[in-house]
Amino acid sequence: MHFFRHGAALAALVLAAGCASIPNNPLGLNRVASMRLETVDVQVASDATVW
Amino acid sequence: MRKTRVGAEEVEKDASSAVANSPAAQAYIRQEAARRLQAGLLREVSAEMHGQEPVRLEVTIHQVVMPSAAQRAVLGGQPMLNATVRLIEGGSGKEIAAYPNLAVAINAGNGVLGVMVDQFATGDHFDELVTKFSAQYRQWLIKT
Repeated sequence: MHFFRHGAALAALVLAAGCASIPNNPLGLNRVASMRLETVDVQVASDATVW
Repeated sequence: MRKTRVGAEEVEKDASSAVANSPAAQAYIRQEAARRLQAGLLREVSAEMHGQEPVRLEVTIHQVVMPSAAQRAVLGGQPMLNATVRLIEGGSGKEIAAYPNLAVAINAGNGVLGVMVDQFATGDHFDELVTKFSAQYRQWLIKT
């Protein structure tokens, strides 16, 4: 039960940190709709934490 | 194992950590994370774009945390993904919008009982993370 609470608290902390730093989106729905997504390039940063 | 007398949980945790941290496993996780996130974002974001202006997404993953079942049973932990997403003009390469350090976490069962329930009740945690990440980015993108 202790570990369950620990994990939930950690997740809440991450989400709270994420919500606190949401950047402004300069685009509107119409602007986005006028676009065509050609590619998605994904890379993993060399100093990324992966485990 | 360096220790001669250790508990079963410690042996399992050490073994799973060693496997996850091996160069081959790290390379596989990185490659798989990139591949699945690419597919998830392409699917989710394409659904909102119906025009002619060519754009692309450049994504840099900063953190992928996928605690093993053994770790969640003993120590607890939640799967997490943190990445920066940049929307780029196809022609000029100019940045249109950026969402730095978009972070998502999902609930996964912790403790022995939580892990047992989780094994039966849920699917792949990384797919869940990708779905949540892509949906959150999509919501942000179309927000007015």
